[in-house]
Amino acid sequence: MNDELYGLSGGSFEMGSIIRKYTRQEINAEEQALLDSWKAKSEENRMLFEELVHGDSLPVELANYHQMEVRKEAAGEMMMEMTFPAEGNIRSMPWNWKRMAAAAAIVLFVITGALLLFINKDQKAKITTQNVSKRSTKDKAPGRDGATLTLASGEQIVLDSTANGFVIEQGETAIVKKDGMLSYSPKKGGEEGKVLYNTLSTPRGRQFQLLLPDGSKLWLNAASSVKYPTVFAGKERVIEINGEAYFEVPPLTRKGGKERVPFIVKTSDMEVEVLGTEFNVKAYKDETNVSATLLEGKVEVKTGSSQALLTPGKQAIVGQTESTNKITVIENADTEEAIAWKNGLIAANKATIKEALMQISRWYDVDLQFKNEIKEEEIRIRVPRTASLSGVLKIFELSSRLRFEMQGNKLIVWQQ
Amino acid sequence: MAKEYTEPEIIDGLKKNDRRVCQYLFDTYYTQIVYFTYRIVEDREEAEDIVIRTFYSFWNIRDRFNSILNIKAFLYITARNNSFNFLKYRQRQRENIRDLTVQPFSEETSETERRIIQSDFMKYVYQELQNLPDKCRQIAVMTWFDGLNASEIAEQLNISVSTVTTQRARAIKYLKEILSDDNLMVLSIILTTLEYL
Repeated sequence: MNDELYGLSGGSFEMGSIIRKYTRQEINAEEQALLDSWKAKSEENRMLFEELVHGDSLPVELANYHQMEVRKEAAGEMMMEMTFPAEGNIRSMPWNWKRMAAAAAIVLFVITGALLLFINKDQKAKITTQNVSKRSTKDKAPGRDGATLTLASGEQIVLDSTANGFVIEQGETAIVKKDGMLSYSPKKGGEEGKVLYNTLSTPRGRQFQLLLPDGSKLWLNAASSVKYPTVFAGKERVIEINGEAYFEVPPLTRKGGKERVPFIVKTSDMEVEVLGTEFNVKAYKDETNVSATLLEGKVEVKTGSSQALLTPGKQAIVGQTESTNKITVIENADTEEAIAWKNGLIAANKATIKEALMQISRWYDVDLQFKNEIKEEEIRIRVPRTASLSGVLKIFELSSRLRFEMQGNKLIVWQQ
Repeated sequence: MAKEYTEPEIIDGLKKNDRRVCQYLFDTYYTQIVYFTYRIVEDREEAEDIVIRTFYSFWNIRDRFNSILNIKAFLYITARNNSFNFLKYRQRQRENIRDLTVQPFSEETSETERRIIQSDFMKYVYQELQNLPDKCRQIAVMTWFDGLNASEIAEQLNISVSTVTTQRARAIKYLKEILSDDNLMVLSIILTTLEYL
């Protein structure tokens, strides 16, 4: 232990640079040995290494990092003013929460002001590059967090404009909103009374997260809805979805017993039953197939006529048009791609070009019109969902034979 | 290009209350520590505020430090502690609400170390992106954001079309080198990271 490092190991200040050297293949033998022993130290270390070297989140994280970097100058001015106050100013002030809050307000004000300046400058610069005004009317911003909550009474609450904090009570459950997530917490000591049903739904261009009273977490993609009880009382935990959602479900045992309580997701064409696991369910009415993709644990997929057991890495596909509802199981599914949306990406490959276009339509709230039939072609695309529509389309145009044109809210697509 | 300070110059600057050294340390470490803090408090504005206060308290006790590593460790640990304090404060504010998502507000040292490693790593990748020469970067933005073709760019920048295509090829090659082999991944990064430049 080194007192100077407040209990941190000196090596942690080198490992970031060593991993970077590893990815650039500039690592030497000594550094490789350090890296190996660090990786061997814990499973978490190894996972972080995998994430940094092979993970999908780098573009999103870089964009995030960039937005922080952009505000550095303004933040620096604020810090310098506090640290080196001008002549005549009070040298140092005692910190208490009220002052701190006031200071925070000033910081925000300064930073926002600086940001506005930035943006203005940026726009002025852009105006000189002609055709921008034309482009800005054509472009569309990406989607964001937002949803509508429908209570048991039928009352609706639009969560886009609701402040963080307590929303409402439903029976014995308190509902709290925090940023892009809605949490259900059972009241302590409350009786398990009547079961009430709530529905959370997103329009196109919105996504939201939901924490159910049993601790299950759910990511709801655009143009989707989920209906669930405000308390799970019975032998099963049953919810219904339309559209797409990603689930993290913890196992649950019945009160006073050893019996496991299964978690069941119903769509109009299939049922997915699990005990505790991570999986994605996609069931949009306007697509040919519905699918369930498993990342961890074990799930059982059922339709009216058949059933299949999935293990991690497998995907079950059910045709919506066929009357038989036959299940096809894909052994080595691209699970990373199936949940790319949840990780903030739009992803496409050879087999999923059309599905990716549907994602774009839902996330950017545009209608698709196909000029000719879209055939499979060899592509592999990853674009952050935070990019503007024109940015995303540009990437598709650069890397495939797809071409686009915007007309009002209509996105016309054809393949060259 | 701002002056680079050596370790002895920095330690000496602390003793002399040199504001240029203060500014230099802030410019060097601010963003990676905001990134680190953001991953704890998950609120960008709050993270910025915490880091500004962290630098303020660092400068107030500046004569205690004798190495850059010592300074870096202090900045990270203080930002982390301030983050946990903030989370506790916010929880107290919300105590009248029953919230299942209560966090423990502390973590193992090894977890903090991993956050530091990730923040450092991001800094290196980001810096490499910034090393793209000015003209190259400008052409990349005009190509991928403004959707201009080579002759339009040439006209606006008052350079030849062949310069535009050469610079564009350089930009792609450079970015390919510093990032993964996946050209498309690279393009998507340019789009998001250069959005505000």
